[in-house]
Amino acid sequence: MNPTRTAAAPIAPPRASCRWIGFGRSTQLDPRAAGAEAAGAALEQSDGKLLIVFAAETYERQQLLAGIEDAAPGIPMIGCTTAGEIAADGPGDASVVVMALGGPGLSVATASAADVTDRLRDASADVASCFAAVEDHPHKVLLLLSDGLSGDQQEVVRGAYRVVGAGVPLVGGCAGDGLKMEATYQFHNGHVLTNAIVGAAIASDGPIGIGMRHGWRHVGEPMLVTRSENSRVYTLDDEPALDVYLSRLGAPAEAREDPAAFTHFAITHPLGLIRRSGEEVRFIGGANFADRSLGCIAEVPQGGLAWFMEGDADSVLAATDEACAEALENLGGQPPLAFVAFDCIARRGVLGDMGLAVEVERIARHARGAPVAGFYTYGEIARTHGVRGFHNQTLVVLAFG
Amino acid sequence: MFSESWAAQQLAEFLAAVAATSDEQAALEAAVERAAEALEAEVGALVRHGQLVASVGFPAGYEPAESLVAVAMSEEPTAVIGDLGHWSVLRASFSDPTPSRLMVARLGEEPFARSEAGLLVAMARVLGLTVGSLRRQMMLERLALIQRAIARRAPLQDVLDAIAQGTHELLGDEVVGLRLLDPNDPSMQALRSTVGMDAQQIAAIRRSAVGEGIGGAAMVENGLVVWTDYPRNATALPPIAEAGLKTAMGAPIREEGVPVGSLVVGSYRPERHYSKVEQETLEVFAEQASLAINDARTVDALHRAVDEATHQALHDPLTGLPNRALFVDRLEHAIARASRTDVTVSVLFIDIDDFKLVNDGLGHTAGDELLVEVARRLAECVRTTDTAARLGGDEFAVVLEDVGSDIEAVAAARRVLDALQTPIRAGTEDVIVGASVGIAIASGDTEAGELLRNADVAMYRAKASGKGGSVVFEDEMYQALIDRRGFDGQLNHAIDTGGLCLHYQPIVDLEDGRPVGVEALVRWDHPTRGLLAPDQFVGAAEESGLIIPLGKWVLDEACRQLAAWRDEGIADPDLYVSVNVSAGELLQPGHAAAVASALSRHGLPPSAVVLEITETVFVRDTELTGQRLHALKNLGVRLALDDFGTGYSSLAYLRRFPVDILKIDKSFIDDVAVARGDAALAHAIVDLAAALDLQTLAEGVEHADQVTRLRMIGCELAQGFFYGRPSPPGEIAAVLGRAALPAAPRPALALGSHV
Repeated sequence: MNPTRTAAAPIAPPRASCRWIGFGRSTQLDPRAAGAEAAGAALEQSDGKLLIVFAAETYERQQLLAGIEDAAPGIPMIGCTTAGEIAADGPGDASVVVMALGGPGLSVATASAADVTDRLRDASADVASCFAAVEDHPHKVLLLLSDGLSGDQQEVVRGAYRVVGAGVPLVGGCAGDGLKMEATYQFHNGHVLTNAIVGAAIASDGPIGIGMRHGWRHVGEPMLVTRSENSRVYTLDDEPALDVYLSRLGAPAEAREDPAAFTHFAITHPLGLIRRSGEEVRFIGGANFADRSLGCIAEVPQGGLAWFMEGDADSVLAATDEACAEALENLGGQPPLAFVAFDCIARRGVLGDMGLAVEVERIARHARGAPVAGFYTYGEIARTHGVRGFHNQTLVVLAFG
Repeated sequence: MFSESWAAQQLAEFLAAVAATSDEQAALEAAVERAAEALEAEVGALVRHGQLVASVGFPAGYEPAESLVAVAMSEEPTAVIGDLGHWSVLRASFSDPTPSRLMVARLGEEPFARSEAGLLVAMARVLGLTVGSLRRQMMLERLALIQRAIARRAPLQDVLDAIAQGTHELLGDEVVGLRLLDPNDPSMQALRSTVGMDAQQIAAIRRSAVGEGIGGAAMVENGLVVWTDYPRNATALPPIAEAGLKTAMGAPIREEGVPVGSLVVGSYRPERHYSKVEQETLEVFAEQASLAINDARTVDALHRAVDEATHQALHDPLTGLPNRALFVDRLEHAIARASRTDVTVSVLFIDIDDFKLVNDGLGHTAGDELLVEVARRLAECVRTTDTAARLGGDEFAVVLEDVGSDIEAVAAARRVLDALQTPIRAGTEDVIVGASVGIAIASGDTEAGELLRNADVAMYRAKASGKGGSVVFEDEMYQALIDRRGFDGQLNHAIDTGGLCLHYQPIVDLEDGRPVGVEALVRWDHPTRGLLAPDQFVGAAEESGLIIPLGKWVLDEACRQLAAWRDEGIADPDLYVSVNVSAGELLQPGHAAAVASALSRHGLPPSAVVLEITETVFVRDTELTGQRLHALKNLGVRLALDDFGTGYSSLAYLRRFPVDILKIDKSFIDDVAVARGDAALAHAIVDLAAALDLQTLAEGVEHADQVTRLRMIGCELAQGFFYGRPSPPGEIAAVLGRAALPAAPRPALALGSHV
C-alpha cells in the first residue's frame, strides 16, 4: 500500500496556519523502509515538532525506529506497539502509522521513564514534569503512552495529575502486543523501551478536544468484590472469581482451560465498577486457572460492587459516534486538524473485522477529511474532569483544532 | 441510585488507602487524593493549623496555597481558585485539636449531593481522629472491620453489633446501646445492639420513645449530647438511672441527614469525662451506623435483592415470625420428613378471640403490641423443632413435628391457650385475650395446603362452639369446601380444554333496526349439568380468581369471531362486539395491555370492541378504577356501563369515568310502554345521558310497543328477545346478514332455544 499523504491543513482561521499536522502510513514488510516511508509522508513541512508513532508489534522495532530517524532526523518522537493500527483509510494489523505535528503555533516537550512497575506514580510524575519545558500556549494536553502490563495504570494518572493539576487534560493509551499479553514496547526518540511510560507535553494555539465513551452495559445482578489485591480479583460474592465469571456468563468450554481462549472471551466481557457517575469498565486481561482469580489492567477495590458487562456492535458503534462528537464539541466550533484515537482492543473484539472497518470509517467521517492516527489499546487514558482518568474498554478521541 | 452504597464503598476504599500508608504525611496525602477521587473532584486540600498540608489538583510546587486555605476555611458553596473558573466546594471540619478542614472542589457549579457531603464528613472525622493519634491503628482497624462488614453485606445486625463493640473497645465505657426507630412506629426507638447490659436491663429499656433517655435527646438535638450526671436529667430512663449510671453521651444516627436512631455510651464512674476526641469518636461510630443503614437500604434493594426479598417475603415484619409462605414451606418439609420416618405432623391454627375489640378500642399500636406479645409467647411455648408463624391479621399457626395423636395435639393446643392466660400489656391497659385453636393431623398423603385449610376449618368450628377452646378437624367439616373445589377445578378444566363457548345477542339501532353490534355471552357446557349461563358460574369464578383466565378467553374468542365475520363479509364493517368485564379483571395489572394484544392478535381496530362494566365497579370509585378505565379508553375501545340504574351510588362517576354507553337495566324497560312512572324514569335516564353525551342502550326489549316508546324518548340502541335471543355464532351469522331486524312491530325472531 502506498503511504497516505494528507494535504496540509490551510484551514480558515489565520492562526491555524501556524500549526500543521501531517500523516503517513506504511505496510511495507521491511521495518526500516516502512518507518522511513510513513515518517517521510507525515513530515510535510520542515519545522516538525513531534512525531507520534503507532506500530504493529510484528516489526523489528529498532530497525523501524532507525527508518523513522532516517526520514525525520532529530524530531522528537513518542510511540508504541499496538494491537492494531487505526488510520482514516481503515484499520490494520501490520502497519506503522505516523502523525507529525509542527508549526510555530505549537510547543512540545517529551520525556520517558523505564522500569516503572513498582514506581508507576513517581515515574509518571517524572514524565509529566516535561511540561515545565513547554512554551506557554493557551491550550494544553499531556499525551501518555504506557505499558498496561506494568501495573495499576490509575497510578500513572495520579502521578501525572500531581504534576500538571486540573488545568491540563491527560490523554493516551496502553501499548499493545497483538493480544499476546506478553510484553509491550514504548518508543522515545529512537529508543525502544518496555515497562515504560513515554509522554509528550503539547501546548497549542488551537483548541484541543477530548471525547470518550465505552458503549457497554451490565449483565445481571451486581456482585461484591469480596477479595482483591490491586488489579487481581480473587473472590466475587465469596466465590472464586474465575468460577463466578465463567458460570454467570456461560463461557465456552475452551475458555475454561485455555488461556488464549479465555482472553478471547474476556475481551468482550469486562467488569464494571460502580462509581459516582456510573460504572467504570475494567478489562479482564487473564485468569489464573490455579488460584481461580481474574487479572485486570487496573485496580479493582475490595468491598466494591461490580457487574459483568457486555456489548454488541450497535452499542459500541454508538459510543464511537458519541466520543467523536464530544471531542469535536470541545473544539468550540473549529474544524479538526487531526484526530488521535485510542480504542480499546475489547471493542475490536465485539465489532469483528467488518465492524471495525465501519467504526474507523465513522471516525474518519467525524474527522471531516483531517488525518486520523490511532491504535487498539490495552487501556485508555482520558482525564478531563475529576481525578480518575484511566479507562478500559473505551474509545478516547483526541482532536486537535 | 447507587449514591448510598456508593458512599459506603468509597469510605471503605478511603480507609484502606489511608491505613496502608507508612507515615503521617503519606496518610494525609493519600487522604486528600482519595477524597478527591471518591467525589470525582479535581481539587482536594487539607488544611491544618491554618496551613495547607496536602493538596491535589494543581501543578506540584505551584499550588495556590493561600487561595486554597482561604477557600477551605470559608463557607461559600462556590469559589474561584486558580485560573480555571468557578468551582463547587465541599468542606468538612475536624479538630486535631485545632480546627482543620478537608476540602474538595469540582469544576463547575453543580452542587455536591447530600450523600457526598456525608461521605466527606465521615472521611474528615476519621482523619481528625487518626492523625497524631496513638490509637490510630486501633481506630482504623475497628473502622475497617465495620466497613468490611458493611461492604461484605453482613446482616445489618452484625454491623450494628460490630459498631457497638468497636465503640466499647475504643472508648472503654462500661455500657453501650444502639437504638433505631421502630419501622412500625416512628415515635419509638428500639434497642438494636448493646454492650454491658444484662437481660433484665435490656428488657426494661427495650423500647423507648423518641426524646427519652440520652439517645432520644441526641435524636431531638440532632447532635452530640453529653450528660455528666445521668439521673438528674428529666428524660433519663429510670431503669438506667436506678442501675447507677453516672455519665453518658449520645450521638444521633442519621439517614439522609435525618435522625433515625442513636448510639450511646455510659459509665458508672462519676469521674468519667468525655474529651473532645472521645466525643468525635462516638460521632464517627454513629456515622458508621448511618452509612450501614443507608447502605443496607440501598444495597439490599440492589445487590441481593432476591435474598432480601425472600427474607422479607418470608417473615412477618411486625412479629418477626415466619409468614404464611414460609410456614407452608416448612410444613411441606415436615410432611416430607414425616413420610420418610413414619411419623406424623399436626397443625394448630390459632385465631385470637375478639382481637378487633382490642385493635378498635385501644388503637392499632396497642393491637400491634398485643400481636407481638402473642407471637413471643407462642414461639416460647412450642418446641424448637416446631414452627410458629403469623399467617396474617390475628391468625397464627404452628407446625407440630412428630405429633400424630389427638391427645398430644390437643395438649399442645392447651399449652398455647394457657400461655395466653396471663394478661398482656397493650397500650395503657393489661388485657387478657383468648384464642380458638383448630387442630389438623396429617394422614397419609395430606398436602400442606390442605392440612392448613383443615386446621382453619376446625378453628372456625372451635370458634362457633364457644371461644377459647380447640377442635380437632374431621372430614365432614370439609365436605362443603371439597364440593366447591371440585366445581372450580371443572371450570378451570373447561377454560383450558374448550368447554366454554360464546353466544351472541344482537344490538340494534332503534331507528332502523339495523344490527350495530353483538353482546358476547359466555356459556359453559358442563359435563353433568348441561349448558350453564354466566349467572351460574361467573360468581364462583370471581371468588376463586378463575375470572381472570375466563375473561381473557372470552375477550379473545369474541375478537376472533368478529374478525372471522368481518373477513367473511358476514358482518357490517362497523359491527362491534360487546364483552363483559368483571371488577377483578379490570383491576388486574396489565388488563389494558391484554385488551390491546387481543385486538392486535385478531387485527381489529379498537372501535370494534365495547367493554361492559357493571355499575358496582364504578361504585367503588377508586383512583385505581379511574386509572384502569382511562387506560382502556386511551386504547380507543368504548366503555359501556351495564345494568345502569340498579346501583346505589351517586351519578357523579358518570362525569368522572370515561363511559360511552349507558345500558338501561331491563327492570326500567319492562313496563316502559305501560307504566308512566317507568317511562318517565327511562326518559330521564336518556336525557341525562344525552346531556353527558352518552349513548343509551335499552336492555331486555321484548315487545314492539316498548320499541315505539323507546324511540319516542330518544333511546338510540336496544337489545332483547324482540330482536333476538343470545345464539350460537352459526345462527347469529344468519341474522347479521340481513339488512335489518324488526324495526317496527313484528314478531320476535326465534333464533334458538338457549338463554
